Amino acid sequence: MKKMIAVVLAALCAASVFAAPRKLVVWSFTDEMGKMIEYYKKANPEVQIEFVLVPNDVYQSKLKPVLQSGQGTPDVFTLEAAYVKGYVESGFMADLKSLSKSAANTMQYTKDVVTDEKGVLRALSWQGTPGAYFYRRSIAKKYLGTDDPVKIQAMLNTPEKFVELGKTLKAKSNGQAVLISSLGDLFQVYKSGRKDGWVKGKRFIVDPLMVKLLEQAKSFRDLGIDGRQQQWAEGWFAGMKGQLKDESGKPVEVFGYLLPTWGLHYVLKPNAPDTSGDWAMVQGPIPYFWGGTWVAAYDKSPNKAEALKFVEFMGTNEKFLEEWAKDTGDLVSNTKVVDKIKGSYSEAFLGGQNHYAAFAEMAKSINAKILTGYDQDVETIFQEQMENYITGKKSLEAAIADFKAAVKNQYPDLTVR
Amino acid sequence: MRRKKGIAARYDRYGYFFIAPFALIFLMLQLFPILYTLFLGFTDYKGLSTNFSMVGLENFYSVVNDVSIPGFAEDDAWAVVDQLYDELRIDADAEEGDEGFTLLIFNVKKRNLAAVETLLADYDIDAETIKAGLNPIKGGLLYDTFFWKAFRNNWIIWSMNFVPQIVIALLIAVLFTDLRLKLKAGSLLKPLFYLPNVLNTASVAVLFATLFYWPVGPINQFLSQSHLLSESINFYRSAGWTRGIVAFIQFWMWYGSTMIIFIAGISGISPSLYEAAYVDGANFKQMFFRITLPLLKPVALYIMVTSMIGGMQMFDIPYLLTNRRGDPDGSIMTTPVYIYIQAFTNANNYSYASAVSFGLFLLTLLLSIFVFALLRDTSEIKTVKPRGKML
Repeated sequence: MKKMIAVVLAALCAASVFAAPRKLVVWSFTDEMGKMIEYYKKANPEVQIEFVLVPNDVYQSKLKPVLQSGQGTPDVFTLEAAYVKGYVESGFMADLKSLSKSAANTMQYTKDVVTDEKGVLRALSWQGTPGAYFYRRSIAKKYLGTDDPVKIQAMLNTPEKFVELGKTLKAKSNGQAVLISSLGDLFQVYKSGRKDGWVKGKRFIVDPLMVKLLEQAKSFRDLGIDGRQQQWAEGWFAGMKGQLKDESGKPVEVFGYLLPTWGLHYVLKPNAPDTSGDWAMVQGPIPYFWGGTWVAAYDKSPNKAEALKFVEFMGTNEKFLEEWAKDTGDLVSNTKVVDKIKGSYSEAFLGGQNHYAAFAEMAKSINAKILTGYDQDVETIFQEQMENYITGKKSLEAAIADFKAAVKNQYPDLTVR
Repeated sequence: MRRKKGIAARYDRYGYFFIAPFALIFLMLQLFPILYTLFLGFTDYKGLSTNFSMVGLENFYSVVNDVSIPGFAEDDAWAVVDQLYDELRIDADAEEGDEGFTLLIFNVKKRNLAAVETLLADYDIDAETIKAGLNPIKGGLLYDTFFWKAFRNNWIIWSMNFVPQIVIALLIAVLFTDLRLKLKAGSLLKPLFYLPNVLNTASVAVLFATLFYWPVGPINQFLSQSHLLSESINFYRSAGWTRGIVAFIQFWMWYGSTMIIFIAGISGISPSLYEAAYVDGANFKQMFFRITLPLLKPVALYIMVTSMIGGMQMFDIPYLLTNRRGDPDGSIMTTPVYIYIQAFTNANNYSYASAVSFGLFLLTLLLSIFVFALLRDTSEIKTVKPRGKML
């Protein structure tokens, strides 16, 4: 009798293992994907999803060994623009031939970035990421007399005019107002205007625009028109809330932030809710793009069909993308959806401005060919030497030489001249 | 020694069973990885691929050549450049000069030189010309400026931490064990001094990073608002300050532990020595320098060697305090941080990181032997062995 019960129980357990829905494991480096998963769950309630958040600065350190060893792999993982190209040829990303029809209306540049050398699409993105300059209307009215985006853009539509505006703000506010909060904000702007990416073949290239960035950043610091904060640090966020103070306790007014599309719903809105309505957006001194996230299915996933369904939903499902765009203001990658909603968009956080149409226009001129898989790592090294140069610890030549030496040390196979 | 018989012999065997679990786990989880890391140091394992080949001592000492061959026609030069990349994945460039184009080939490893010679033979370039155009660049661990700088950082930070640590720990230990002072607060203060050792290093790193943040961290605000300074100090932009902060954290976290060991060591000294000295009229200074210190030599040796090994392996604080790259400008990039960056970030040079680990092991071993030789207790060797059989 006991034996029979044991056998029946064992059979039931075995059956339940096979019948239970397999969990879909999704890895990402920010909690943004977590929010998007809620939309997926609404549309597909029977799917169980486990979302794993690994912070961006250690994301690659965790993802690479897992993919290499095949142990504990996710079914779906996201990759950021700063390193997505390093994985496109790796074979870990499933090919999305079956999704090419649904991706027909996806922005071309988002597909080009993740198409491998044989022409196979390996990932999809739900967003386009042109960059802009978000400024505070109240500070504009106080010191510049107007908060109209058209007039403000005319005041800063070249790098030289941008610096002049900084000087004007500083003078009119007796040193209290600064043009940008952190010099890191400038970095993304100059980075995307380059002709060449960091690496071509096996050659390491320092585009002249990066040298110009070093000089510009130093002049910003010397003129006192930057807020001296570090990006993503407490002081950077405090400036958004209007609560930034310098070390002697005097308040510092940060006029604006150079942020891209996702900066609005991922950075400004959650961190400065009390200033809603006091912001506006203009293109800024140089057209640029910043970041972007791509979703890929793991090639050897046991759940591949479900994973591909997930990727398709995130990258191409028009209903989801339209909902996501309306809820967050994110510029989605589906051109049909963008054209549909850009006419009537009104963003309360930006005082009713229709930023969507502006972004849709800007997205057309993004050149993502300069992205490489080396970006995240090389740029960390670059920013360290940039700090050294800006704070006057090194000359420009020494900073660039040390930068090249550090890159050569990390990547001995690259030619660094 | 007589063979034990009977029950004693049977019980002897049980000892092996008791140590077997530890031995097995050590072999699997510690010894095998150590040996495998050593093995990896002789390969070229890196990046996302799982294939690698043996490369001998290349990670330790290598000569890589840049080759410069003048006198090419423009089309030929570019054809060679393309061929070199397509067939051998070697980077090359063609530069216009006074007499035609110069072919520049970069990063040619010794084992690839033969293949390059074969390729260039098609263009009538003989081995002599290639040899004349070689520009050798020494590389590998021995010539790695970053490794030696990291090792130097280990020493600088450790000595800044060790000297105050020994002095203060010894001082406190002597005060707590002094027979005439009879400090009552010992039972309260000893755990308090030991407490920083128990703290989570990640939390400590975040704490100190926030405290010294520029421009508006608490310390800077205090300095500005109390008018001691007019401008914030950018602590983490200065090599001196950052190293000092790391050394202070290490000192603060470990002086309690050192103090406890010294207390144990001093307690092991027979009080009759001190009583005899007191009767003979010795003062505190004489008792300390003539009795306590010499008899603490074995303890001090232990402290010195373990602290030095720990100093060479310093990782968590330097890694977490600034930007996880040992900046500002590599001033707190200690050797373990360097190993971590080589292995687990950027290009994932696992083989080179293994070679660096092995190099660090050798250096630490040599230093430990040196310290032992210098400070070991030579008095035992000089005593005369008693005659007669050992029982």
